[in-house]
Amino acid sequence: MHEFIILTISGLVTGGIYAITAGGLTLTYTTTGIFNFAHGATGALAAFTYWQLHFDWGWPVWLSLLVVLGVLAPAFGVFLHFAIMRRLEGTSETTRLMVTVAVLLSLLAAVMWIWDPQTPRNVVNFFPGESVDMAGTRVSYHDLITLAVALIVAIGLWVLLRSTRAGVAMRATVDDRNLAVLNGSRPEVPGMLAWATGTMLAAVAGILIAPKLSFAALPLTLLIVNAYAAAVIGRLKSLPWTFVGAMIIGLVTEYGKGYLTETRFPTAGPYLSGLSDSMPVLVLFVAIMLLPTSRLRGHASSRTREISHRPTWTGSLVFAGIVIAGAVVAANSLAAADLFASTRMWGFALIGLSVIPLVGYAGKMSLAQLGFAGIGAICVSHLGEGGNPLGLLWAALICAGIGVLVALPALRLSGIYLALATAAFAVMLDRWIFGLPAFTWGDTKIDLFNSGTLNFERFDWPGIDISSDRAYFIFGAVFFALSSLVVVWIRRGEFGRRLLAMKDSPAACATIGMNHKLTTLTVFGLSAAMAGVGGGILGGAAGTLSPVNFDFTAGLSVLMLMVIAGLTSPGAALFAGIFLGTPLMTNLFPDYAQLTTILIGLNGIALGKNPNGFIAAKIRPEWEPALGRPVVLAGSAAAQLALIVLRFTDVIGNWPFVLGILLAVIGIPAALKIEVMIKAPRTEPEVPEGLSGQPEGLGLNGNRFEAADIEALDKLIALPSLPAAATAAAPSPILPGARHGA
Amino acid sequence: MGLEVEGVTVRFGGHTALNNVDIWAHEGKVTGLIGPNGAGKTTIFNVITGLQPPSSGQVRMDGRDVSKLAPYRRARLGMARTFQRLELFGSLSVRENIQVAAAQYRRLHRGTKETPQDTAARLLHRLDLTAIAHVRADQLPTGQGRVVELARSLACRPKILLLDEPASGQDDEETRGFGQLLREIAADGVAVLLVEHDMDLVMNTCDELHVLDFGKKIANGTCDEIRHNAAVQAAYLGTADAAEADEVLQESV
Repeated sequence: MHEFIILTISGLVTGGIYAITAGGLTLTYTTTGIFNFAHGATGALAAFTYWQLHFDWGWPVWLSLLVVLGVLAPAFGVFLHFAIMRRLEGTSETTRLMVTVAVLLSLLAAVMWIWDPQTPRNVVNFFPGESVDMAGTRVSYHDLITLAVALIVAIGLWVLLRSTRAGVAMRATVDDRNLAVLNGSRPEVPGMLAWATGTMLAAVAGILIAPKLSFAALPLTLLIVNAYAAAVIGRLKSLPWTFVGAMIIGLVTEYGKGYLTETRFPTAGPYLSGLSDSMPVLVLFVAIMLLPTSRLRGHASSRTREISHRPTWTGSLVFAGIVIAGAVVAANSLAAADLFASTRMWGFALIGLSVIPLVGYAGKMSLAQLGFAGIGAICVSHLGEGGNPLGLLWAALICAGIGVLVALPALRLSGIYLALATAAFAVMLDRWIFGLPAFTWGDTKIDLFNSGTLNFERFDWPGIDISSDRAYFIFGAVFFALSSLVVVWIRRGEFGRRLLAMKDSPAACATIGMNHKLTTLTVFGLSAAMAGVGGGILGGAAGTLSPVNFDFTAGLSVLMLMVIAGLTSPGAALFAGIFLGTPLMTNLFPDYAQLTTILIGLNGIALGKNPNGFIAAKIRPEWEPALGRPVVLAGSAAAQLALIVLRFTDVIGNWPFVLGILLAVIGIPAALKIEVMIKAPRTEPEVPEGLSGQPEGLGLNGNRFEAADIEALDKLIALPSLPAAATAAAPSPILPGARHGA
Repeated sequence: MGLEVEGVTVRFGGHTALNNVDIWAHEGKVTGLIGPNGAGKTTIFNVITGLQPPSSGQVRMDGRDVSKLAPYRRARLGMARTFQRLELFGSLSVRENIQVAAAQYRRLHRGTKETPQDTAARLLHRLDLTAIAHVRADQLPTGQGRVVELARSLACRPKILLLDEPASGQDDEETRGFGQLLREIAADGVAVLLVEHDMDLVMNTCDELHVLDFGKKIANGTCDEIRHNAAVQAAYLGTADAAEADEVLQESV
């Protein structure tokens, strides 16, 4: 009984912190329509800033709190609103979510850059050592403060939204922003207030929970998952229910920690240690299953800024050809160590490709693609022993099945819940499943990650030997190129049209008889299968993999790169592969381990400006015209071929070769412009007969506008000509139309 | 037979959007549903198609109770609609919009001879959309968008067709042609239910009218009967002055 009381109190305290976080999250979501994935990361930043002020620089507690909670946090919220979130008008839910994911990645990397995780740091309770006696147990002042703050926040937010002018304005904005503007409210103000308050609440929660966690950036950042589980119980809008949800999750987590221990369950103990950490995720899935069905919605905005390009077969075949040709050249010119490190890129590229049908075409979010890749890698390692390629088939089937199971509960609900459910699933894989020790089920011994590392052999593909790095690299490229053609085929066919239709208007899909749940499940399974195969290819490339290769934030990076480059382009997958799977960044910037993440994050933040990704915005318009210009294409190809010959005959070294190839590719748009200039020398457009200058310029900038001009114009637009006298008497020859009255 | 809606009530919180409404639409006829803004016309469309679950009441298609069926199941039984706020597949071309619906129909009716491409070509031609077949649907002006929505719903070969203000955004001449088109569609045996503010179109096209006001049905009958109905005049003009109201309604024809 005594233990129960202790666990209950700590459960309520944990729940209180979740309530503060979830309250802030719900507040920004209901007011701005943006689900802030970076909420936990903001809390982490605040906690570390507090540590810096109080514990490192020795400022008094009150001053440190005042500076962090009263000044820095709200200011950061206002900054987020004006610099980033405000620009997301007219973008899809996917883009809005991904921008906050980008903020998460940037903040996480920034915190780890500023405060080196290798250095141990400590944050202690407020009033350390002080406690009171309650129901026979000692409760620390810190815990009491936490509970009190949670209550104050819950009541305060409720009063704010219900009874104050600002709160009513906040609720009005989310209902209909344009209407609120028409009624004279300034939507900037509620949005700004929501971000300031939300960020402050994240900071409060971060500082309160810091002493309870091992003080590090990642667990604080991932607190978001526990918090949104609570927010989901409140259906992302009800603050009282969010509070109740937070308490349930706090209690369940603490009871789990207290009761599911090795001493109580000696046999199951090792498998349970990660379970209590995953409790919020399990609660989330239960909550999602119990929530009432969302109504089918039409599209949110009448015209989105996001367009998806319909790929042509010519372009896609050229792309596939370039990928394979480029891989052949790279495989024969990269140094052995670089080549080995770079074979991974095709695994990442395939995982990136798996995002396209699901997120790019169907507009459904999955934050678990790398998690599925992890499952796929497990399948290939265990079921494709000795490099049996059937392992890939197993990976596809098992991942598709698990993908369907994960998506199933969220199907009845609106899109954001699918994103939340998949993120929670990925975190659960991370925290629990991938770390499970070996267990036996029936007669089979199952050891998912071999307690640390998975081993792979290169595939024993019938007829070809791909065991060398060089051969495997080319194999990966061919596999990727063919898969990209499959994706294009999907897009151009009936299934692709259905997916886009579902993204554009779920309501209209229903009224033409389309079962959108089945369509969603199909594409989700397909995309999970593709990710699983990607994981297998990655495993074959790397030889060994461990759970850290598939962690949640790495998965966010893959998705982020896809979004930055353009969710509907296979080229984006190639970009993600190169960025994550080659030693490019570590070679360029060996001293800045966090730089990759920061770069990804910063680019993601800029999505609001260009939500279609840079391939659609920059690369395609500049390079695509080349497809219709054989002269330019042939020139570039000839130059590249010459460089390749020079390289293989050892006339030039590696670096001049790379530079030359880059020039030959980057030079295409410039060559196009030159070709246009040569073919069509600039001439002034012909002046119509009888006019003294171009019609647009008549009478302007000192150009004369004569009676003869009027006559010529009349003739041009087939008006009956008027007597010369009338023309002369016309008061305003500038406006020929005025003469009709004369 | 056709569509029957019986005793439908919808409450949003304390507000009653529809109060015990009965309406129907017979096959082969164009039935009008009119009423001032906020009368509940779009809400009843949402109830009929299943997008809005009613607090109580029943929707029947050809005598069969479909009240418990999901929207897509009702569509598969032959119910199609257009939307007042356009719901086009914006990232697809006009042709593809129709093709998606035609392909969906063919998946469910394996015996269909006409390919989705042919269906699209036929409807593009019939509704005079061939010139814009390749335009992305979200680039269209509203009036054309409505015609594309109509084409898309016809690709499902509906037995019951619900049209929510299909003529708004069209000019007078287009509207006249549109009335003729609706008559042709009904003549093929479709029950057409038309929500429309353009009284010319309504009075010249509909065989029967239902009138809603503040969520209640206040009248039904032929166009002539409705034109002379005192309750309708009061609802439309906010006045009980029957003579004046009559004058206004007469003028509109």
